[in-house]
Amino acid sequence: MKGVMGKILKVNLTAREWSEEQIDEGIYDQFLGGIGLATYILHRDIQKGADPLGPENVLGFVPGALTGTGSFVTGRFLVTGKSPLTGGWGDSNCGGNFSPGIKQAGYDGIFFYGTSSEPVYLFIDNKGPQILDASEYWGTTDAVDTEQQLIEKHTLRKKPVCVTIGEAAEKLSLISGIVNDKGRIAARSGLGAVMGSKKLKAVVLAGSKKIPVAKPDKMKEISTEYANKVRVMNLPGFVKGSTFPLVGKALGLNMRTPMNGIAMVGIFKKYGTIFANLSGLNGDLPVKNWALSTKHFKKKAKKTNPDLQLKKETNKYHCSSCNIGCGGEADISNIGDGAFKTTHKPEYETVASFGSLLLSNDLDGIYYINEICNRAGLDTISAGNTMAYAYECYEKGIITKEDTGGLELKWGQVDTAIEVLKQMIRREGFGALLADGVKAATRKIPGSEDCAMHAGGQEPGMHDPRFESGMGLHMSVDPTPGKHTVGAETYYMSTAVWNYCSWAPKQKLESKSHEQEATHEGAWKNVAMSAMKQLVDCSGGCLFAMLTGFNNWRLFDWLNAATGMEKSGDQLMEIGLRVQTMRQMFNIREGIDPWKNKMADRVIGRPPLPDGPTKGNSFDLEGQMQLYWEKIGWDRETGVPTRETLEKLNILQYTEA
Amino acid sequence: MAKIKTYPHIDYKKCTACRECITFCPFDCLDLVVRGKDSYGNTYPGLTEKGKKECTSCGICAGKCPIGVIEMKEELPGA
Repeated sequence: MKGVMGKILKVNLTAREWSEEQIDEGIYDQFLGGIGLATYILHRDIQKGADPLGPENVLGFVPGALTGTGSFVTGRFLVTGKSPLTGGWGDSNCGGNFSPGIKQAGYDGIFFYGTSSEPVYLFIDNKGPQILDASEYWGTTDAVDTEQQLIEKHTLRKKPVCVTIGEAAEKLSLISGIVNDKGRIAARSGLGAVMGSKKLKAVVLAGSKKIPVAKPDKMKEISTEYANKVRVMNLPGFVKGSTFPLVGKALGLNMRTPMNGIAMVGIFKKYGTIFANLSGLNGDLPVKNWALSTKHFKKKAKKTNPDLQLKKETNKYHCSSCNIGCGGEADISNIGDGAFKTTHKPEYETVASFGSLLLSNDLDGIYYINEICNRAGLDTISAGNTMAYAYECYEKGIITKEDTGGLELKWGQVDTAIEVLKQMIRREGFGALLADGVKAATRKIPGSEDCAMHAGGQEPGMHDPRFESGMGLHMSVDPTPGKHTVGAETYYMSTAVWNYCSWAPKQKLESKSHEQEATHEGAWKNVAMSAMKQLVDCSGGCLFAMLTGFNNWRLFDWLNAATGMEKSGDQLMEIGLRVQTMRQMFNIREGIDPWKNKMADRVIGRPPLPDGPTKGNSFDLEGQMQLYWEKIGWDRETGVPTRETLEKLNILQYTEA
Repeated sequence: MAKIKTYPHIDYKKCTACRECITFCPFDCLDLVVRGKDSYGNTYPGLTEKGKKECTSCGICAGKCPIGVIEMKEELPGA
């Protein structure tokens, strides 16, 4: 198969040896690449019951099947392994510039086994892999500076790309991630701690292998069509930051309609995700540790107007192969103590996690926190949720000044959060109690369970299921729970997936009132949502490109043109179903009860909010989970994939213990 | 016969700033160095000063451009 490199690199850190493994065509045919390939390797090579922070865990870096083949917005990579945060399948999707470097090094994945006794990093150039000493960086140099120094050190003819970990991962924080391109983070699932446990400080890639493409002219034809569509989609001048509450209200109307997703491009090009700072006032934005409605943040939110963030922006930022460019870079040399010169523009997730969730609108403080987290390699979503948990514990008297070392955790105060955050990263003082996220904190702070918002151990992304129930369902039903990027009804309606997949229900113009209930059609949509997202993650694609619609961002056609396959939409979606089921089977094998991945009651409206745009909202999560399981072919009572499904997807041989 | 020296010329009316040419240049001759081509504040790829001296005319950048808007020409861009 073209599009892929045909082999993976396996690095044994204990023995300091490496080997290559050729991957059979049949495996690509079944799993494609990216996350799919990782499910095959990790099922095979991680033994049941493995300690996520022990040598038996396997940490994988996988680019997508489309990465580097001439398609757009397909330059992302995934980090995979057994998650120390959830105890089950862990993956984290990341942009930046690292992904094509894996293929240019000659591989469809780099997998790390064992544990080094001393800090090391992996360097690959066209001569091959080398495992090198990293002790000068370990404990001394943050993720951003390490990346810069290693790139300088290894730049000969070509500047390498690099992933690194910071102090949080070195100290095995279960909410730490892996950093590339000065602050794009594979943040979820706590996989930074896995890298830290292996004493692997960085991976530096400077290869220049050619990536084979089956039909380059066809690739160019599809890419040109997409580029032409994206180029002309610009926001009209009257759309300012202050108009986004209205956009949010429109999204909050009791209506679903098929949407041409390309319309979103103008917003992404100008603002990126931060439009949601204000559109989220429709009820999507979580407030005060998920305890209040957006009504209570409306006035404060004005100071998070996305136009204020554009004023700080010095440069737009594009991840590898992206023709949209939703990211940005900002000058922060005049913020706080001036310790940092620049940072990536904080995403909506970070603005909400350390903003509304703490009842704060201190945008400068959020920029400063963003850079602290980037350099330490800390997941801003999990860290923000954990901070909000601590603030609520303090408010309720569950913890006092005696516990916090004299710090007063008062809602709205970001300065205190910065101090606690630094302690979390260093695992010192009060911060040590919080360093591993909310679930671990509840074991150290008795009586605090009701303040801890998580699904299966992972803190939720900043989109409120009381605004959109599908978000709560996917946060609960996905094998990596708590993620906001795996599915939602709003996502579905712009994908046009029904044009490619015979069983995916066509989005009609309809009321969304029924979404609170479990319906057969809703369940099929949610299953299709999971399948397409896994297919995107096999390809190295981006969620935001997916939201521009498969009729515009022609993933299915690119996949066939790049690989030379001639698969139908249904056959490609079956790969997505296979990968989703492999991920679930990993959890089952590890003894995780799928019911235990249910999102925390408060987040799903139990009890409902008494006011605001989502007043009274709750939904039948259990019923929706059961219907999802039934439609995808998992047992509707237990969430365990049935033998019939494993046989149908031809994965029984990979999943039998 | 000596190979004719050529350099990448980018059509900035169509370039999307996707960075693929930069990613795949084997000699780091391209970088995001061109500004002012749109109202968003994007920077676009172009030959760096080093690139102007060290470009080997391999044409990989032109081949990797997803939409084929890089043309190899004998004169230096901007000259």
